Amino acid sequence: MPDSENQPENGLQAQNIELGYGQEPVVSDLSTSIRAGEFIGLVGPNGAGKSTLLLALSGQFRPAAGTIHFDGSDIYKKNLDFKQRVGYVHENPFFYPYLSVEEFLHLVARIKEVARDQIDTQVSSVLKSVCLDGECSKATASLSMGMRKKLAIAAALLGSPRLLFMDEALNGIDVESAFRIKQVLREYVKAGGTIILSTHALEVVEKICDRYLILKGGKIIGDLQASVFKEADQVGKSIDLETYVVKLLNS
Amino acid sequence: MVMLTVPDSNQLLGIFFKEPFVVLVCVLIAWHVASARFRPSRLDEYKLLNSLPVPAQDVCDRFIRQDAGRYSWVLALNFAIYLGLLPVAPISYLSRLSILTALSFVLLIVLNVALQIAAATRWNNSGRYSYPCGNHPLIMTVVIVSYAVLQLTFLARPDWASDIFFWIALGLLLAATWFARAFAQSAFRRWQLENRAFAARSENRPASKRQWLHVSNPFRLLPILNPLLLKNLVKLRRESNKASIILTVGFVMLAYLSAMNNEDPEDALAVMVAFAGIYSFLFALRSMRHLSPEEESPDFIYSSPISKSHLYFSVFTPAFVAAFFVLTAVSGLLFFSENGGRLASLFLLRSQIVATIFLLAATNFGLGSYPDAKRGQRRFGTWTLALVILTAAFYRYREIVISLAVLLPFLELRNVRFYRNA
Repeated sequence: MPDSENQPENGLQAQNIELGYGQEPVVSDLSTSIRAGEFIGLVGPNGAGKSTLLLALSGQFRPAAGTIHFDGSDIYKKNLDFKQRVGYVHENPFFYPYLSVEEFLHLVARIKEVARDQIDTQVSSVLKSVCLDGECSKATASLSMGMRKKLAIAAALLGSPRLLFMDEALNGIDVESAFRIKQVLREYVKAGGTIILSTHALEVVEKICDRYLILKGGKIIGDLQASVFKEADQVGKSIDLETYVVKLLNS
Repeated sequence: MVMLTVPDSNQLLGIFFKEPFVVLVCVLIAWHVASARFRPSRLDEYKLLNSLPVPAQDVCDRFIRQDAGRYSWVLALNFAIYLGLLPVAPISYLSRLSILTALSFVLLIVLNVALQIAAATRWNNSGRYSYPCGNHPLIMTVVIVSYAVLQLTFLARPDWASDIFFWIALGLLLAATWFARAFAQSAFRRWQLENRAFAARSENRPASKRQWLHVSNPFRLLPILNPLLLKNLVKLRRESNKASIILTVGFVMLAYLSAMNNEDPEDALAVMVAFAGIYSFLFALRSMRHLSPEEESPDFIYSSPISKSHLYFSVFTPAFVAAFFVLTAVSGLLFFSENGGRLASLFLLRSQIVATIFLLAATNFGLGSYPDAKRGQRRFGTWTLALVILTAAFYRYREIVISLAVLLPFLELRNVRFYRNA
């Protein structure tokens, strides 16, 4: 699990970033700061730019303007070093169809330069975390959608990343496994890791995240702590995240 | 020169194996490449026509006409090749030969459609039906090789294109075409009636015959090797690569055939190196597929800490080793022929240089254009064409031209970044 570092210069800082495909801007003039140990829920309507923003923050989509720094250094200048400390779960994860589950995880561990004597331990640990420990020698091509998602989460957890990006990662996973994975994610955040979860499932975000970023038209229109809702509950002004988000999007 | 009605087959083949044969091989390769490009649109057409109330024979005839028109340039180029035989064959013989060639071309086009459809129904009415394009490359290869064999047979047996034999051959070809068309129509009717192509497994989940892989983990066994290279070696072992095997077997056969049929060792060597060049180009072009988004997903590559050199050597090394083994094996075959030692060593040296140049360039262009594999292949094709033209134009300075051409693709690697740009 990652080390906890909470100095102000640590974490991920995006400054006035602009992203787009061709001439069409998807994210414009967006700035945000993400500290170590935060569990962020990124929500917004379809086409709001959630996935594009995740790609940019994880070092996969260089902005046309603006900068993104992690622990004070530009993530696109030291891209390889940055990616060593990142785990990413894609909405439609890719696997090499001719490899087994265990082989794929070994490949990722080797790419992430996990120490050789730790690979086996880490692989079995992440497989247990996502309830895939009984499927080690199954070909990745024969996995169901839910299993594919689990394998992608397991691969992302390898190498003790400090940042975990998850794009609709919990969709299609069975209830029991989802419960276990959420526990693992919480433990990961407690140990100082940072998670940014993009999803439409607000009930999941409400339950496990401690900060919400609401995106619309490529801009952050809401950035609030989960504690705000708990405090509102305590003074009898109860409001749920769904109602809040819908109101905000319509305002 | 005395013109004979029936030319001598040894003379015909002697001239044919010198230059027209290389041109014919190039034409056949171009035919295969063109058919591979056409494959995806044919699949969509099958699906559309299957959903419409169109009679089976009309659809079948439409495919036959479409294919005959699409590949008519093969026939035109074939006639041009025959003009090269004018010094040893009378025009009347070449005309009859052209008619037989045209008819065999039509027969094979009809047979191609019939086999494609029959393969789609898997020859019987039971079992799981699949989309009709799975066996396309293999069937096209069989068709193209059959066409080449027919050409060689007509040249080896010039008497078949004369007198009564010509009419018999003509009748046999016409009858075979008629039967092939009837077979194609009935196969298509069955495919239309019973096809469950749309209920078959979708392309979303990659097809794999293996559910469980009960083997020792190669990543545990070979911990020192570049992980992406190791992954590609595992792929090589577990996934059949029919096209590369056919390409290699074809090359070995052609090289051996041309060497055995040419009495002048220098000439034989030049022809064989030309074949090795064509083979290396095609092999390099195929190796570029390892850098296509289907093989190396940008999602995976961009989100992982992968260095340029890791990806570069994972593609270059297996291709280089495979080409090295094939060319060494062909040199070994030559070793036992007359002047074998000298011929084999010269061939080995020259062909290895040519193969290395092509593989380096292909990997550089492929990685430079990643993940746009088509752009990489286009640039590699243009580079090859420019290299051939410039080497021919400045033959005196060929060493300088080739050295510069080898260095140029390395510039492609300067701007390789494993992330998208807005």
